Amino acid sequence: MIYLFRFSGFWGGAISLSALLLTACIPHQYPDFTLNCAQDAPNLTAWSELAALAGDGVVAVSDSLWIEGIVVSSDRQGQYFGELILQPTTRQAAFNAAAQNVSTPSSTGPYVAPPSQAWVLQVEGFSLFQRYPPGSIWRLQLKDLSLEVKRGILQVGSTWPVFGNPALGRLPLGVLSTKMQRICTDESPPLVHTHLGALDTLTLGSWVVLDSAALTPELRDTPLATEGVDSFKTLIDCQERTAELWTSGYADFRDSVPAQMGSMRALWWVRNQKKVLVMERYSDWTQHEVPCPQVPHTLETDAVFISELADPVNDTKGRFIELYNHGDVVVPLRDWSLVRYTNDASVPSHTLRFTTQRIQPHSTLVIGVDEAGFASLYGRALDLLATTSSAAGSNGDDNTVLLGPSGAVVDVFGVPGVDGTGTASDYEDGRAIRRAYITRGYSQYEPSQWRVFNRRGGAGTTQQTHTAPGDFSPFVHEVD
Amino acid sequence: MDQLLFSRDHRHSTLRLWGWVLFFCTWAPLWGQEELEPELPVLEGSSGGLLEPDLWADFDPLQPLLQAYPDGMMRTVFFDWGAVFYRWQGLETAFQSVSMAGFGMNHPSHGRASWSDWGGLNDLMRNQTLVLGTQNRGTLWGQWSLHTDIELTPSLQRPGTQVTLSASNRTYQTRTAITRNGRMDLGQSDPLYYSVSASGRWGQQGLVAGTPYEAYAFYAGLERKDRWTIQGFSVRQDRGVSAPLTQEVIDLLGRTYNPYWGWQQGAVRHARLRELRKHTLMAQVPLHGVLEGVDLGLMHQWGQTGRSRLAGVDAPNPSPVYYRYLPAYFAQSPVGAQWDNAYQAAQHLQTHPQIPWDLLYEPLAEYPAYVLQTDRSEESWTQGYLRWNLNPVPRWRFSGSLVGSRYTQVDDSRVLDLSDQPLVDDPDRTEDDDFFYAYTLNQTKAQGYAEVQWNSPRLLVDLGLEASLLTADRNGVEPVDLSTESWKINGLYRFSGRHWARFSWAQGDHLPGWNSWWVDARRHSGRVPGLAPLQMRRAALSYEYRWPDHSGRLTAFQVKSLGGFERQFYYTQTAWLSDLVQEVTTGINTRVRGVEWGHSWLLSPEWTLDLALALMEARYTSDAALELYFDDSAALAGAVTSPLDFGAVRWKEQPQAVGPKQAAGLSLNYRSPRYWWASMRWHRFAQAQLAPAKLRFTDPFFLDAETLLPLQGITPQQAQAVRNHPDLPTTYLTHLSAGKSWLKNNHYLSVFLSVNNLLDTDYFTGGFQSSRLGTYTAQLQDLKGGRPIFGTSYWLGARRNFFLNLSYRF
Repeated sequence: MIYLFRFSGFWGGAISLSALLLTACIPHQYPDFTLNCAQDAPNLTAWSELAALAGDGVVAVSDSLWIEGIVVSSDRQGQYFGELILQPTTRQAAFNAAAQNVSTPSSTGPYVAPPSQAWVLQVEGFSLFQRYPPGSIWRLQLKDLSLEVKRGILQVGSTWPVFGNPALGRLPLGVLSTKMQRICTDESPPLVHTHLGALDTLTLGSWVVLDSAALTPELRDTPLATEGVDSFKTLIDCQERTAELWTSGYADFRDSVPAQMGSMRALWWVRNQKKVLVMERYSDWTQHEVPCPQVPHTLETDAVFISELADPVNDTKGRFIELYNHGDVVVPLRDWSLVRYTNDASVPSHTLRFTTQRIQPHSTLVIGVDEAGFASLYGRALDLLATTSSAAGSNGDDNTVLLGPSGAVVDVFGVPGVDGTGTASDYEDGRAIRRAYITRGYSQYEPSQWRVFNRRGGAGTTQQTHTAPGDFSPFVHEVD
Repeated sequence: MDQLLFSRDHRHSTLRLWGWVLFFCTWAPLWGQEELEPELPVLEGSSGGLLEPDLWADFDPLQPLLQAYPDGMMRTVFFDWGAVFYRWQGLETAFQSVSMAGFGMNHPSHGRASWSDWGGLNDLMRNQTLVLGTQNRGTLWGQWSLHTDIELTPSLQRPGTQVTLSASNRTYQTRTAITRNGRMDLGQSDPLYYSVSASGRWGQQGLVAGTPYEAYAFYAGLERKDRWTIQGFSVRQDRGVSAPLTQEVIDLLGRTYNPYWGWQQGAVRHARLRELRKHTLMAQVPLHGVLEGVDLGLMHQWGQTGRSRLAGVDAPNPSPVYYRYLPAYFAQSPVGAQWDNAYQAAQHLQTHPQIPWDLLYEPLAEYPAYVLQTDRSEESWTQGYLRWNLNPVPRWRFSGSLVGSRYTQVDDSRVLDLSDQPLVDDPDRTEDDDFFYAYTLNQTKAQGYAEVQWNSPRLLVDLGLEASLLTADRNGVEPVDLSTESWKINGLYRFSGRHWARFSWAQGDHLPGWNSWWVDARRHSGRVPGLAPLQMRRAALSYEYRWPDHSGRLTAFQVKSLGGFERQFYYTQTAWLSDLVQEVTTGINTRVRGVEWGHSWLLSPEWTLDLALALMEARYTSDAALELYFDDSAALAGAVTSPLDFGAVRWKEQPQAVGPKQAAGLSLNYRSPRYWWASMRWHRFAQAQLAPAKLRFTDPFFLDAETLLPLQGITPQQAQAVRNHPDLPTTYLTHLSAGKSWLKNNHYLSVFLSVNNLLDTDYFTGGFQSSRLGTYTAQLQDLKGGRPIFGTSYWLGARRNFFLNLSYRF
């Protein structure tokens, strides 16, 4: 076609040149995406220093401070809103440890988990998981952001004055993107394999994997949560250990009815001041198994009886009552009660009502009156703490009745209405222990079922004071 | 040429200047700032492109040069007012029609003539005739507003070779065109006329940042005079689009901001591109010698269009100006103003105004968080005509046509991830339902038009009748059968050779493009309730005069339209539901009436003064009915089902947004005997309204969202305050153009420069209210702070721009 145009040399040249130079203005190929990974490694600020900086209020950071974390939350299915939860990276943990003044918590008493060093970013936006997916590692520049320590958890956000007082606001997503640097290492947050009973030993913000968990039987036919209302539900495993599961009222899976049991992956976190498990996705709970047969809500049985009453001569903190379950099934003690008739009282002086306590087959349940004193005497924590006015705090001349959930007498020690002093049920400064051939409770007191030691003797008892801990056997009961 | 038609040859000859200039695609830095992207509503319906920003795409600075104008008034309307979205006699572009080689070119899908389909072939568009209103058009019914007839025939083209080079900064930066017209004598038979033309237009960006442009066009035509004509043209166009902006974004990021692009690894990437590939073949056979005055024609057009957008799949909105990222969102927070965040958001926007492409890429994502979706249409359009133009007895002329057409459109979406890898529809995922669809639309139409004209020295009368039958379906089911009937009568009375009066009356049906017939064509074949053509009535009376030094036209007109419908798609939060909805408004009745006056005064042989004045009133003459359609398979609390009846749109006697209702233009022209000329034009536009949010005119808008009971104690004044924004500001514009030409030994060289908006005035060409907030309480709250979160979006007028054209013909 071009021969139709009789270009002179100049025109032909000009047109050809322009045709060459007029390349496409709209590119259809773009450079490949690559992650913009942080190259440098500035010093990080320790968790404790940030917590100290925040103090009791909301503080805007004016210096250039860095903190690192691995994202452990995800709003993919609506379980989180406007927040990112991050665990410290190894590097951050090293900075945290180096700054720690006290290396371990106190050596006595029950184990207490260290304060959580997880931190929370308050962000304005939906679907944050697409920009900050779980497992991704970030370094945050804290300059111009605000800090607050809320119930032991470090929160990072923007400053938001409410009636003149600073509060922590959510950061605009765009602003956050300029403060975050991606760290491209292989580090992944540890996945802690544990069970429901051991969660308390973990720091908040841990990812946990549980081999088996199901809702408690009465919760298995209701949805996890109703729209707009967050829910707390009790999880249970085959060993009857329990923990709370939290579900957002805006979670995509709130309508699901989890009837089965299975392994669960969740975040150990805190909601409404309760420590809870938070699932990210419903599929994190496999639910392939039929739940273990659960003990009923409560059970009335004479397989549970009083097995030991103690009044050490040397320490009233060592007083306790021991119950024993001779049956082959767990006995939930809900609505059972242990009633004390002080001295010659014919009406109950104190009633200890059981709630969630369970007593395992061929096992004991020990009720004491002083948690620390008992633990230091006997080297083991109480199963149930009661007041000194309860039956467990008796000075040896009182009468004790064990009632089942229906209110019927399951077992009894002593004769209510009669002061025990000098009688067959007097165990002052000593103890009463059920004889080994007794395998159930009796609604009538029968002194021959007991071996009783006290400081007076007489009425079939042995005059012999007992000293804690050596003369007592809490948690242990022998049956023929 | 019929006396009533105004051929292009009346046009001032110096306006034909062509030239060339050598410019390259300038890799200038993108100097624009940022922009804001409101969720852009899509509006389709009987009023056509009310919110249609893409009209810019069809604008070509060369186009006004090619028109033949009946008078100075229309020259002003086309040259200068069109760019301000002035709508002639209050009618949208869908009411205008174009015919090319006798074929009606108004597109069946949207009802408008798509000038882009032959964009770039300006060199061949010399033979255009503009007809006002429903005046006599010969063989075609056309539409209810202006009609442009384009004759491409090679034998009518000016012989020779023409090279044109242009530079501009408005939509494209460079234009190159080359055209050759000629004849080949083949011995004893009639000569063969031929035309070939090719052009390219390129631009890294137009006036607005991030609007690249790339277009090519080719044409070839062969004609054996009075025997046959075959011609074909092919057009390819890709361009980036710009967005309407809210006042907040304009204040933050400037008037040339465009949110539809961003940086990816240092390169510019666009998020909204338009692609057009159109190919047209036309053949005409005059039946000379068999049936004198009868022609046969066959046309086939096929091609694709595509519109892409970047979308998040369950991911943060990628637009930098999403409402949740803007300062107003934080300043207006319902739990208390967050000034620090508002400040930081403003700072962030100003430093990061564009799409953060690099941030959108996340290798850990299981499914792409962001996708590029292209809505594609593949079209195939065939039409054939038999037309006649007979003059059997003196004073009588009979003309008309029979047209049959078949149109098929296959619509689907192509979804790519950010690395341009195609994604397929996964039936298990619900999130991507918004992205995948496919359907076919078919339409068959038969149309007839007959006109009879009687002419005497004093009086000319013509009468035209139109009827059409149409059947259309979606995916081959539930065909829609529609028909239209219209008639018109025109009269011309000549008082003398110097002045005459015209009368024109037309009444009948107008059928909008079929894209607007379906509530949601992507999902189902449900149609707009009571789908039927609009009933139009148009009357015009004009007086025209031609004295040696003064000439002009004075016209009074009225256009009534009954039964209009519109469809709009947006996200809203009403008292009953918050969802993505298709808003369907039916029973829209409007009336436009006004006067226009154009006057030319020949001050001296060199100087002329042109005056144009238009005043009109456009109102809704009744309430309309509004329904919201939504996907009620998504479980919704409250048990509302689609469609949700919102009752009446109480806008009777409210003004209709049809562009400026007052327009005045003055132009001073100088033409030197030494072959150069210049013209300076001043214009004033006033009383342009915003497109209203119709929800605000309904009763459910005034419900208490908690109790679902009507709010108490709202006065009509308070209600009106929430509905109406003030008129757009009055705009004054100044344009300048000048040209010079040389002719030597049959070599013709010309240069032409035009500078529009010389004083760089800031102005709006239109805007629309947000329908996001569907209750009075929420809307009032949003307006209270003076900086609403869901504010009005404006289309910004072009800043100072130039067009330089050099042309060489030999």
